[in-house]
Amino acid sequence: MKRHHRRRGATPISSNPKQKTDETDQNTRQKSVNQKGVQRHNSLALYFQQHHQAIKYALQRVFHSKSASIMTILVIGIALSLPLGLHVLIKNTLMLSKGVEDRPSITLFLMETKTNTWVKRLENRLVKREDIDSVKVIDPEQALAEFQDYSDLNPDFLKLPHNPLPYVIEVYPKLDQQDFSNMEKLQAEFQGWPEVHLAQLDMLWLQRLYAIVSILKSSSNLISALLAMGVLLIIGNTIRLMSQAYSEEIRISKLVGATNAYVSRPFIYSGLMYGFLGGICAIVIIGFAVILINPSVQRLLSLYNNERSLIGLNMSEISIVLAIGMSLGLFGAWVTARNIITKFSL
Amino acid sequence: MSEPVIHFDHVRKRYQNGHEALRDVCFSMERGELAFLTGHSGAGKSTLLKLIAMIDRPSGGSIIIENRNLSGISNWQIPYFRRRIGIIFQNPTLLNDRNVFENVALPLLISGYKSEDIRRRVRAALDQVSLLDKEKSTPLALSGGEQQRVGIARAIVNKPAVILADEPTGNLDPELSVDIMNIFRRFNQVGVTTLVATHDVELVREFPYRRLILRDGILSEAPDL
Repeated sequence: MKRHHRRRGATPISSNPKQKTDETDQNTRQKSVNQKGVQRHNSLALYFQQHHQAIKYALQRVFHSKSASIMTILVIGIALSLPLGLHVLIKNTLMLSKGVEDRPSITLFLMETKTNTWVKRLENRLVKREDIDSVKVIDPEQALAEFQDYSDLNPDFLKLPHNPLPYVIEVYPKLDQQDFSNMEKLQAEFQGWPEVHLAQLDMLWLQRLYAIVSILKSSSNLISALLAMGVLLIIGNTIRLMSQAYSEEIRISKLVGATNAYVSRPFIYSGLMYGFLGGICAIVIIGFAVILINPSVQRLLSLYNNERSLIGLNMSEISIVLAIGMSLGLFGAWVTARNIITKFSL
Repeated sequence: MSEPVIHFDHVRKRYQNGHEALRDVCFSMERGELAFLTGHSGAGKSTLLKLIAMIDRPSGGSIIIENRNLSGISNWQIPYFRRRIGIIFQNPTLLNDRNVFENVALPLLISGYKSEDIRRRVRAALDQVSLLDKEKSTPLALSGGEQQRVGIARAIVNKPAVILADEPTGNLDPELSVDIMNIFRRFNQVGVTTLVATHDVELVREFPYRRLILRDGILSEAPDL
């Protein structure tokens, strides 16, 4: 609309077509009609002004209904703390398993008659393989000495006419995460070699532990997904209740020309705050849990001569939890607020 | 002859329940005109105002406000359109958790004015309704007439081209009603097109302006006084 009525020239209403205006008037192609000298913010300043306002209103709303807000934050915190706790459990289990013993290996007991040079050749052959990380050869004398060190038996008893022990090669395969299938394949292959008397896969217990951990991991993913849905619903419900409490404000704002985005913004920021505070709550819960459980874990570990203690959350995990909380809050509030406000009837 | 600010051309409004609120409404208002819209409750007064403010859309016919055919305004453009219209209700509909100043400033905040301009304009609007000394009060501390005047200040603070008032004096005693009408008259004198829906016969008699009468969804013009 380019033309403006100027019938009553004395009116304070006058058009100012050169004025840099906000999205408003550009969109409707209506020139902003202002008093002379009155200027609106340019679009960037307007953007910041309106978001600043929305954050202010969001804070007011979150703190206005304190008990409801605290409950929402606690529910979100508890929901987030369950998968977070599982994550900490898994992390600690893996860490402890590393501390208890060194890497998994395959022990090859060679045929008795083999000579030193022959063993050297076999060692070279193994080292060259791509799927093997390192190899350690234990010759019979060394093995006997070691055995005597560890044994409580009378050394005289061990004075045998000749050393009965074979050459032993400890093979450390390259580990593909916690996947043990390649270990088993290697063991089967070595067992088929004529010079190998017995190929023994060590640390079966570790394999079992990793299997348990992998079950924990997949259940933790499932639980996380379910609880994330729960958090979305909680935030959606809170925003719905909040919008009912502020329905008069929504109505009046829309009547004086507020866009749906303008009216939704404080709700969306509220959701973001709930998510953030819920995340903090989850972090605090896990922190306390680690502190509470640590003494008993230490007692257990001391039985295994292990001086480790539980590991809590590190900075990157804390930021991930907060980011997840905030995105859930943002998304839940955005969907709900948009839904309510576009359907809001004046 | 200037172009009309409000122009209704064979406008019909039929609600989903089958009720026909407006049957065939044709009228025009020029810039700076003040008119009463009278009729019994349920005659369609509120419906007509809602169509102008785009709270509702007509079932037929066309409405042109300030040279813009409302059928060409899509839903997302409605907020921007509404900033050119001031709406006043029977109940002042103020936000009780904000003070008078903040209530009046709401449309300007939404439109994105700078704070110094907001301050100036809100003061000017409050001055027009003689409430400059009450800007820090909360609406609940004000009398009914004062609350209504805050509502009027909020409606005019954006300097709208059109003011729509739906039973603005419905809850007020006759003296206060005259006060409110005098305020409308002042705006009207500076070129704002004002349409006041009312069934207050006394008030209409006291102010000799154009009268539009709605009866069962049909609009007729009362003879000049």
